[in-house]
Order: sequence, then structure tokens, then C-alpha cells
Amino acid sequence: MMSRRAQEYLVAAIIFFLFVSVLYMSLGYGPRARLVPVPIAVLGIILIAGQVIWQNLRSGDDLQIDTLDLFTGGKRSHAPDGDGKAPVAVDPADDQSAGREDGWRRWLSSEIAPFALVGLVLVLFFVFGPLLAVLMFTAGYFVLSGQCTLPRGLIYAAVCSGVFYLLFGVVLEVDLNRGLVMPFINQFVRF
Amino acid sequence: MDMFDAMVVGFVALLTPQALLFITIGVVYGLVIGILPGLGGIVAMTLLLPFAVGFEPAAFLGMLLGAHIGTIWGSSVTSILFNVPGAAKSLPLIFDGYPMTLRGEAERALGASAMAALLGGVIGAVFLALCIPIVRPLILLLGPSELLIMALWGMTVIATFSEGSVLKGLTAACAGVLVAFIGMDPVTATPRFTFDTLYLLDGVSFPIAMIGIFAVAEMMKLYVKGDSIVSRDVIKNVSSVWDGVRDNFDHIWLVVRASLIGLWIGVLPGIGASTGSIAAYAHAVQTSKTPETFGTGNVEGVIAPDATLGANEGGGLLPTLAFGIPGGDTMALLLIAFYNMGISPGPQMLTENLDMVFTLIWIVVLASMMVAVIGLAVSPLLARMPNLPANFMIPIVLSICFIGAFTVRGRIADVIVAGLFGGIGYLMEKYHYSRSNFVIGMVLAVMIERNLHISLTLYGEFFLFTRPATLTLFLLLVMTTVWPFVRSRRRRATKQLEIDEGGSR
Repeated sequence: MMSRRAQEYLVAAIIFFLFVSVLYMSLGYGPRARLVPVPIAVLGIILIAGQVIWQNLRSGDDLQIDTLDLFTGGKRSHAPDGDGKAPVAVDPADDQSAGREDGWRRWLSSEIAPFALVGLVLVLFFVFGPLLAVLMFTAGYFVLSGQCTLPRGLIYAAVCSGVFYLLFGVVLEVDLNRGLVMPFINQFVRF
Repeated sequence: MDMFDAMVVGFVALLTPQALLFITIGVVYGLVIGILPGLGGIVAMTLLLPFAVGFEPAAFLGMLLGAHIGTIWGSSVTSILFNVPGAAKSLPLIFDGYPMTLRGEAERALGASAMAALLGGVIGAVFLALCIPIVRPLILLLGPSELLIMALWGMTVIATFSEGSVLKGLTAACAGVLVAFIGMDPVTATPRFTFDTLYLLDGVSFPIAMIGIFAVAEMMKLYVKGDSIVSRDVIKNVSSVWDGVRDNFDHIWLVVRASLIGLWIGVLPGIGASTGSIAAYAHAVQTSKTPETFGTGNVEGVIAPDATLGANEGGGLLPTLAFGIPGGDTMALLLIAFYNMGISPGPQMLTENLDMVFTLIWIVVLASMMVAVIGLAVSPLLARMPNLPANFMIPIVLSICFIGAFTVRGRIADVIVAGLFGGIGYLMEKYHYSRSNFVIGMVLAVMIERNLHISLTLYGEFFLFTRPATLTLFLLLVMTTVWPFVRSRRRRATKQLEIDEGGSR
């Protein structure tokens, strides 16, 4: 696993690459079309480069200039990580209380699992459409997370889906009957 | 018709069962929509437009404005309880509202929010009525170049409140601006960053990006955290809504000042409530007796932005009605509703149809009162929501998010985009690139580009130097951006000097 500093550099490099890509693409547009994107991309490149340079110059120290300190004369309280802002989410990768798993498992659970969860929901939406996806996802999550038994999970999921159907399908008149397999299901239901 | 007669006639027009019923329906509808991520005021009002034909104007306008005001407080609720702003204008409520929830003071925060919004709405309406004769010449002085600089200033000011470093905050803002440029350029009709896909030609929808970058990302974070938003074992509810109500009267002058900020920001067309709520928050810090407590759950940090948001609606009515210039996107919808009803906004609204103007002002007051009453009644129930276990919250909220994303344009691709922004938001949160700045950059991007093009066309390339007001605002922008660095450098030098002196003794 990478150290926090290495991760920060990687993220900065990706952002730098994105700004450079935007700059490259913008140069292909007409003068009026690129009038704002080009300076913004250049500014972004300067800012991210400055952030990386500053991090290098000030080892172990993020750039923490806080204008709220300007207003408070430096009296504003500072959280343990020194930024003095509203509580920042604990980095799951750094949180020692996140679990007693070894490094690889902790990395999997903290990094890959949330993306996998969102990916699963998206696949369900694409294949089965909004309503069926909600029913399957909520029922599956309630049951597999141990929140409730299968019958109760199905009931809760059906109630949730029913409420969503009323709110979005009936009141807002959104067509929830979409998805890759819905035409086949509709034929089956009609038959 | 003189002002007093117009006030009375405008109020009487609302004293019909249909008008009062419609305002109530609008408020409840708006509250529900406001709490749902992504379905903000603009969506709520859009869905009501078809009802413009067939109902009396006062009743329909009551429902329309009532829904809009309901969504404002609804978006404040999600900011306070879940650290997820329902709209960009509710962003500052995250700074102190959410820490109050974490401390077990969710009811107090919600009570303070509801009462501040009510007082802001009433104060804003009163001052608006008094200011109508004065405001008009001032509004006409502002040109596109001044609006451009104010939009840029809004971005840099917001960057200074970002979590993490200012450089990261500004980087996030730049990224947000560039994302907003995806799609067809409105000035030259050039497809930008579309990769020849039809979907991206329409650009990235703002509500979808918001759903992903805040709501989906929060659920991803909660999934990893594996607990409730507020740990049940540690935090008990230690407050009531009436504590929050009392807080407003303990800080009544802050409420008044924040309301005036909201009113004037609302009056200036195109600025948007986001800038106003941030400005109000900064003002609260500046004038507080305990500035060091901001960011940790200071109720003043909730009162000021909400009072501003309450007053902003009244202010936004003035340029909309008097000049046909919408004060924001929701006011643009109001304009459409007017045209549908055969009413033409313009200077004559302040002379021949002044009673209609006061009808709208009274609607803002009544709707604000209803929102406060309903809000205070349901706040104890809403305050329990963060204590729900994660395994209960995650599937429901994620489902609402993705269905909400689908609802915006009826496309499955929007759901995928919401998921993508969810991943981006999760990573931004992890590495301290401010999501708030990103979203504000998206919001202000169109205003920046449009006003820049207009300024160059009207005033030439050197408009910055040929227009004194523009130059003044620009210098103010540079000062407020550079000053934090200068001050920090001075503070470090002072500390180093103290250390050196202490060591030499």
C-alpha cells in the first residue's frame, strides 16, 4: 500500500494530467470558445503544481492558510489535523479503529468496496430499470448486512419501492419502467 | 395606487381559502422535495408550471413561491443532518450545522435554522417594501463587467473557506468551472469536451453532479465507516428546537444584518444566494464574540446563512418584477409563470401593478411562517434520522439518489454520471479537495463566461481598466485572495521571532 504522501502525489499528478488534457483540447477550439477554458486550465496547472511544490518544501505540512483566521485574528479553534474547519471525515485508510484486518483486507474494504457498491447499483439500474433495481438492492442489502431476515427485508424493500413509485412514478409522472430486460419482462407480464 | 393601498389590496388577495390552501400545499410539497437530494427548488417549481392555467393568479403564485421557499429549508435540513447540501446555497450550513448534529444538538440546529429563515423572510420582505423606490437606480448602474468580477470574487472567497489548503480549494473550483463547460458553448455553439458523444452535448446536469458528489459520496463514506452518522452510544440528544428558537433572539442583530445581506444579494441580479450565504457566514465569524468556535458547531454559523436565504427570496423578486431580469434560476421560472398568466414584468409593476408585487411579498412572509411552523413541529423527528444505523440509511438514500438522478432528464446515463461523481466526491473528500468549491465553480462558470463575452463586446479588451467600478472590485478580489498568504507569512515570522527570542534568553 502507498503512504499517504505517495497517494497525495498520485492524485495531484492525475489532476495535473487532466488540466493539461483540457488545455490541449481547448487549443483546438475557436478563439471565443477557448477564451475562458484556457486560462482556467492554465490556472489549474499552476495551482496544482504549486500545491505539489509546497508539499515538497514543507515536509509533513499541508498548505493551511485559513482566511477564517484572518477574521478571527488567529483565534479560531483548530482541529487535530490543523485546518480549523468543520470536522473532516476520518480517512478510512488511516483510521486505526476501522477494523482489526490486515493491510490488504483493510485496503480492499476501504478503497474498493464503496466503488463496488456503487457499481453494483448502477448495473442493476441499467439492467433492470429504476424500480426493480431499488427493490433488489434494498432487499439484498438489508438481508446480506444482517439488518433483518429475508422475509422482513423483502417487506421493507417492497414498502420502500412502493413509496418511491408513488412519489416518482405517480406524483412526478416519471417513467420508471426502463432497463435492458424490461421489454422482456413486460411481454411476459402481458402474456 | 399608493403603497399602503397596494399593501392592503395585495394582502386581501391572499385571504381566500383557495389561496391559503395552495400556499400550504406548495410549502409541504417544497419541504418534501427539498429534503430529497437533487430535487431542489427549480425542479419543484418546474413541475408546477402546467398548473398556471386554470387557477387564480394569487393562488397559483402562492403555490409556486411556497414550494420554492419550502425547498430552501428542506435543503438546509440535509446540510445540517447529513452534511449533504440540498442546494449550493445551503453549503455554509455544513460548516457548523453538521458539527452540531454530531454533538447531539440536531434539534437545536434545526430550530435555529427554521426560526432564522422565518425572521429573515419577514425582515427581508419589510425592508424590500421600504426600499423599492431607492433600489432601482442602483441596479441599473451594474454592468456585465461588474457582475463578472463579483462572480470571480465569489469563487475566490469560497476557496478561502475550503477544508484543507487554499491551493487545493482553488484547484477544485477550477475543476468545477471546467466541468461546467462540457457541452455546447452558448456563445459560439462549439461543442466542448464532448468527445463526439450526443449525451455530453447537453453538458453535465448540475443536480446530477450535486447528487453524486455529495449524497452518493457521503453514502460511500458511511459504508466504509460502518456506523450511523452519529454514534448512538456516544451522543444523546441534548437540545430542543426551542433552544434554537431562543438562539435567534439572543443574536437578533446578527439575524437583522444577515437578512439585509441576503436582501441586497437577492436584489443584485445574477449573483445568486450561494454568494450571499457565504458572505453572511463570514460576517458572522467576523462579528462574533467567540470566533474560535466556528467550524465546531457554533449556532451563529447556522443562523446567519439561513436568515440570508430567507431574505434572499424577497430581494430576488425586485429585479425580476421591476426589470424582467431574474434574480436567479427560480426567479426565471417565476418570470415564465408570469408570462403564462398574461402578466408582463417591467417598470409598470412598481406603478400600475404594485398590488401584485405586494401579493408576492406577502406570500413570501406567509410561506416563511408556514415553513417555520411545520419545520419546528417535525424537527424532533428529523433530528433522529442521523442515528439510524448505516445499514438502514445506505440502501434507502442511495436508491433515492439514483432515482432522483434518473428523474432529472429520464436517462439511465444520468444515473451513471451520478455514480461517477459519487466516486469523484469520495476521493475529493478523502484527499481534502473541497467539494463545495467544485460545485460553486460549476454554478458560477456560466455567469463568468457570459459576462466576460458581453464585457469584451461592449467595452473592449481593456474593460478592466476603463471602468472604475470594475477595477475597484478587481483590486478587492486580489486583496482578499492574497491577504491570507501575507497574513500567514507575517504570523509565521512573528512566531519564529518569538521562538528565537525565547531561545536566546
